[in-house]
Amino acid sequence: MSGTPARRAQPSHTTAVRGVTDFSAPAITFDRVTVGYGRGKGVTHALIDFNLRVGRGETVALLGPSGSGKSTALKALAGFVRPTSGSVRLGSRDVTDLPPAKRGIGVVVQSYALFPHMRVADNVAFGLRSQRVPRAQIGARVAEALDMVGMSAYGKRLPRELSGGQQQRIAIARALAIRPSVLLLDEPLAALDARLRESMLGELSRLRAALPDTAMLYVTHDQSEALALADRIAVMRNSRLADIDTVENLWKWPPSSFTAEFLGGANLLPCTVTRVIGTSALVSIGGVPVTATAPQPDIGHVEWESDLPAFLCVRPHAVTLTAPGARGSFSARIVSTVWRGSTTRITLAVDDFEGVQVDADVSGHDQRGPGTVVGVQFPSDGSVLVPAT
Amino acid sequence: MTATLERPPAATAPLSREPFRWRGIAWTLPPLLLVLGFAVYPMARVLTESLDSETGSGLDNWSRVLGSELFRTALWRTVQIAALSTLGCVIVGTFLALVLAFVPFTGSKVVGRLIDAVLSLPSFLITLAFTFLYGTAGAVNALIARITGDADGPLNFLGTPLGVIAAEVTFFTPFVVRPLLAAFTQIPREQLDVAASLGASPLRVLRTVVMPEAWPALLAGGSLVLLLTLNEFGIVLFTGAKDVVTLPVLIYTRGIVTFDLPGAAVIATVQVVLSLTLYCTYRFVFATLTGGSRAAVDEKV
Repeated sequence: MSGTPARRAQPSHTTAVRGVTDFSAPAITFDRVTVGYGRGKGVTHALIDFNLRVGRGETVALLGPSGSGKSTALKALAGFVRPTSGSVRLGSRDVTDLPPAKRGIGVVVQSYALFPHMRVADNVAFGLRSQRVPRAQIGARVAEALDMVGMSAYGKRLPRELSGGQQQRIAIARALAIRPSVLLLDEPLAALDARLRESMLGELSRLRAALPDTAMLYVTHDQSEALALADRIAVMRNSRLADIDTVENLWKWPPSSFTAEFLGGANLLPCTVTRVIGTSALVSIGGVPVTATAPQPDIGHVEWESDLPAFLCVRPHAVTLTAPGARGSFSARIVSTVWRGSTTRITLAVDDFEGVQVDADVSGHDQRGPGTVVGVQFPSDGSVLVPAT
Repeated sequence: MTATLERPPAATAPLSREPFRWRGIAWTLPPLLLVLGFAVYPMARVLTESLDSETGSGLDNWSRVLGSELFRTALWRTVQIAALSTLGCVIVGTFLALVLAFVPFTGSKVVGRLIDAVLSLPSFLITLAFTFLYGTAGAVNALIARITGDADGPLNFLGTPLGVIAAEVTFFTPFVVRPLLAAFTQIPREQLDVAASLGASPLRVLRTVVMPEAWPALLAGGSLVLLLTLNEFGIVLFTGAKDVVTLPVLIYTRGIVTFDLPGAAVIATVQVVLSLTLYCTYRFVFATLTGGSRAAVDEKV
């Protein structure tokens, strides 16, 4: 984790300053960056009014669905696209108009982008030669980078002689060889199979620990990668930054319904706020009172007024199944079950929630079939209020 | 516990393989006969014609033709023009392909299609256009003469090897552009981006990333042009260059004008050997450059 404390994002009405954190020496700064393609009325905005600061040594994951603008943000930082407005800074240096070659950023992409006609060692040495590092130093730097990713024995191979995972390691070594202060990773594990992705996640974590001064911007649409690697997660939606916070905060207290759903697939139950005292809330779901947590962001303030429509966010693993009619439980029917090995995902139709289904994860292989009547409880420590807007 | 494995039933042979074999032969025979009839036989006929001599010794024709100054000059001129034209095509074609692929400009698609259209034209048409443009009585000379006030324009190169090379470069450049453009579009954009992010200047990216990856396509296009220019007849004939005698022109002169068919056959055989040698060299180099090796498999973790 970064040594710099992360702050919660402000509520949605202050979008312009959302995500701007108070790092004393940010390695990366996006200042109201907008990127548009096309001209005149045909212009399409791939990134709108994007603000973000990443501290030295911090890892921020840009998480969002396809077309949300996360890769465009990365391209704007690397210099592959020029912002229509706003500025990009590396440290205190404004690099908005600098070509990629002058930025000194390490970039790793999903497709590896290794140079197929060069041997592994030459691929890794490419950046060093481009930056005219003295020849005497190149060998040692290449060996160091290859050693860092455990590929020392593969220097003389051609990329086509390597597996996907090995190629991705070489791509990382190539980016690290130039000793960048900023490392950009654009869906680096997306092309790998699930098992290899798990292994590479572990390796990237170790690599992060070995590079305490390198700021990393990690683009992914996979929440598990973001949760495993990032200090903070910036959730992107419709070309804008939707929410940003530490991994733990976003998971426990999602500031919006979109983030709650995208990060962990939470159940969002429409409710009405009855009363809020401190961070304890009493809400009503279909006339039934339920207690929940009403979080307050570190920056800004959310007014949980009475009769305010909101969502009760309950993660599937926090939903408790009981015997029908148990105290404090809602009556529900099982709609479907999917066994996932260590858990079973049960989809429920709760009698009091019209048109809303609830997902619950129970451990082991649950044998109850569709139509079975059960009781459902939403423990207050696992139920969080989320603004309806 | 002992387990016995059942002996698998003996593989029964197909009831009859004969019809399949004959069917295969029936399918192979027609194309084989076509190749023999339309490609191999004419070559063999040319070779036997070159060995046909009134004195009885088949090598007489060969020693007579190969020993002549005219043949050696024509051979040298053919190779010279072909090599220089190919070099010109490679330089101009590479430049054009780079611009069309990496420097987007309004109308680049039209230019690309125009280049393609040149491929469909007969080669002599280019020479004819050259005559109208750059001939002694051509438009360019007329314009220069009008500007300078001289009676004649200064351009008078169409009848020289330079004129032939210029016409061949104009006509054959698309043969280099087309495969190069295809190769450039195959290079992933990410490779160029990553190369730039590593500190490489555009020139370095071009030299160390783009061109090495396009090398097989350039080799293919260049080899094709070299083959075509070695055998080019129409352009040389249409320039009306008296001093430009290439092997195809010499074959034409010996075979049609002086009726020295054995002599023409000797030169034609040399021409065929030259072309086949070039083709085999190209195939070998291409296979060496693009030779594959097996990829590793990710270890189970």
